[in-house]
Amino acid sequence: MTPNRPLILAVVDDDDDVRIALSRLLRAMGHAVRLFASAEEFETGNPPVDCVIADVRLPGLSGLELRERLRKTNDSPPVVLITGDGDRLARDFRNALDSPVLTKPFDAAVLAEAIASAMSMTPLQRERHAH
Amino acid sequence: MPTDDLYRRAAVAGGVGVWDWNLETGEIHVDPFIKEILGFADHEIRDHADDWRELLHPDDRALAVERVEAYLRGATPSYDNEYRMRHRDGSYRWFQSRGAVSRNEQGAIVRLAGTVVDVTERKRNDEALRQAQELNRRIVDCTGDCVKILDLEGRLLYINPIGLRLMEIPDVSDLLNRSLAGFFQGEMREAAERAIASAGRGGAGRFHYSMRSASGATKWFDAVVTPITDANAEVVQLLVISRDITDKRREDAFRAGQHRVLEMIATATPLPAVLDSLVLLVESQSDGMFCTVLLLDEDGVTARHGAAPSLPAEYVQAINGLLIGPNAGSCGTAMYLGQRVIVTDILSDPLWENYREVARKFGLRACWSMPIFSPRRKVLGSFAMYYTEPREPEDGELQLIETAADIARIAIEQQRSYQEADAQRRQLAHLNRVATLGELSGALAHELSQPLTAVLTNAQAARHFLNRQPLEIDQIRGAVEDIIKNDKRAGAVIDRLRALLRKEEISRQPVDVSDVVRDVIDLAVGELTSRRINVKSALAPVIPSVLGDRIQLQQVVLNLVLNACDAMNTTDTGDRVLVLATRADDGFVELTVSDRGPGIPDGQLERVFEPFVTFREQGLGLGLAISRSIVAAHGGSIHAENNAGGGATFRCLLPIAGARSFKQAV
Repeated sequence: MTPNRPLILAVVDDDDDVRIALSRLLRAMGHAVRLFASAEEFETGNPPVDCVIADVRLPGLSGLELRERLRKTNDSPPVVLITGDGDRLARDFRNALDSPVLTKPFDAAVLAEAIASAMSMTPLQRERHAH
Repeated sequence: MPTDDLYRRAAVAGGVGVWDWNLETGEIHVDPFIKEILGFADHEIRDHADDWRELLHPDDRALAVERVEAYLRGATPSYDNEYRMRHRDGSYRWFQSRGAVSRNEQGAIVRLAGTVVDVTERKRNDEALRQAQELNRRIVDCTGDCVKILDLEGRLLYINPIGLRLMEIPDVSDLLNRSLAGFFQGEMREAAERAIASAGRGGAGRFHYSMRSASGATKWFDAVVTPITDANAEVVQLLVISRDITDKRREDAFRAGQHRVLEMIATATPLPAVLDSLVLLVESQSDGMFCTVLLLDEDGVTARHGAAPSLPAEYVQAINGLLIGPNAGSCGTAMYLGQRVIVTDILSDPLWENYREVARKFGLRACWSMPIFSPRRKVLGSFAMYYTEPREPEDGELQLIETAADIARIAIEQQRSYQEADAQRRQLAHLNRVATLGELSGALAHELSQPLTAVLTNAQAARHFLNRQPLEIDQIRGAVEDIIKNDKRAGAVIDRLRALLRKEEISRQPVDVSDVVRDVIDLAVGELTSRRINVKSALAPVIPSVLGDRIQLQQVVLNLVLNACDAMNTTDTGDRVLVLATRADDGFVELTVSDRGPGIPDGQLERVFEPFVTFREQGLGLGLAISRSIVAAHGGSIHAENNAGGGATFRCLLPIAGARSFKQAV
């Protein structure tokens, strides 16, 4: 379900076109969006956000690694992973299933649902998924 | 007579005998010492001229008697005779006899007296000398070499008949007393002068020279100059022996030329260039000879122009496409019959009925043609020699035509095998592209997913904006423009994909290798990113073009890049550095691809280029084999080496377009 209240969302993707398009869509959906071209950039900014939408394949730290690092801090935002290579992700990162993973290209409704789903998981639930 | 006795002893010591002949009585007193020489005791020969005459050699008798009579009748001023006399053992010894007459008071001749000397030894020496001279003369006259004698100034004193014949000069007086070196010019003259001077100092000299004989043919000689010395070892004259090396030079040149043509064949020089060189080589063996090569079509009846670099284009045109048959000129008939056809006069030979006019137009009178056979006796074409006068072939010429046909066969066969190999290579390259495509599919999916994501996301954003009031036109316009942009971006990815998959003939276009590397980096950027590979490129911004197929070269670079990526699978992520570099060097563009993987195992640096040899878990092991064949087809080379600091480097050299190619070298 799409959360009713406006959220602050972070988009971490190195592809300019994808990043801007997501920003446009999420803002059209009524959310505030912060854009980052890499996981490092996101960590440096360390913005208070409700959810992070991160590409898996990033220069430097991958989206997956970013998710792992966020998971280790308290009150960390949930992560929605997006990827251009679903097969590879499924093969390589089976243990990433506690975060929603979207294969590009994805529908706006699917994205909204993934965000809602990620946010509905309590930290405990996420912890359980990870083991 | 003590005095007489003294004379006699002195005479005997000198080997001289005294004689005294009474012409009135025929009585003759000869020193017993002479009788001893002949093996007789004093009493065994009567002191009478008749006995002595008996001892004369039958061949000498008449002449010896005549000499006596001539002197006595005053026809010769002195008496000097030479003859052989028989020894007791039957052998003969030579004597020289000299004497003078005595007269009585009335002035009449009464006696002839004088000395006789045994000259057998001298005669033997004379004969040996005469024989030696005869031998020399025969050697000088009969040798195939030109023998000359020069004075110390290098002027010609003598030339043997062979020498005159070789020079084709009928009158020796045109040559005598002229400086030998003066016949030559430039370097040849200097070489001759050096050799003559060296022999003049007692050494030996050698030089090569060429002369145009009176008939206009150039002949080459190898001349050795040696000193002729007198008894005191003083150099008095010079001996020059020149050997005609024209044939040897021609053979050497032919062998060298043959070697060059074979080399052209081995280096995959295009067939027309090889056949042209072959024809020119054969033509250089004889003045006024023209050669052609015709190639028989796959249809087995149509003969096509192969090579005829010295014949007019119009003639070549007239012959091109002729149908072989039982009377289709020399070549058409030779190919039809599968045997050599010798036409000594085109104007009268029935085989030439249909081609007589065109041959006449260009003055071609004789044509000998040899079919070119494959090893399975299939006729591949023909090699022909033409002359502008009616002519019958000599053995050497028939041999030459066979050799030429044989080389042509090698060239034609080699070309066919290259063509087959080329087709195979293209097929393999296509397969490899497909295989590579499989490896790349993940990367390509990613490449495509990005613009598709942007398109869909922008479209959905636009729809959201359309549903909102008031309309945010700028947002909608931005979304639509990004949709267009990203659609094009996806199209470009598909274009690259198509280019990769295209199975096409090799094109030969100027290609910038640095651009090729950039293309490949663009294509593989997704793959490189996902594998955490840090690409460092050191690409020469301005680099000479190589002549080749851009897509194939991309293929090579892509293979090398993907191999390097695979090699670094186990390398620490921070250390995964791929270095791509290009530079121009000495007629070549050098491309290097270096990784920081484990390197190539000992002794495997060459093996990695063999098909189906791979050190990776995935892949067919064809990539490097195909890369090498592609590079070789571009006239280049590719090698692997291990880096001093770990990892491997693949070094690829491609010849710069327009740089000295093999064809230009010959």
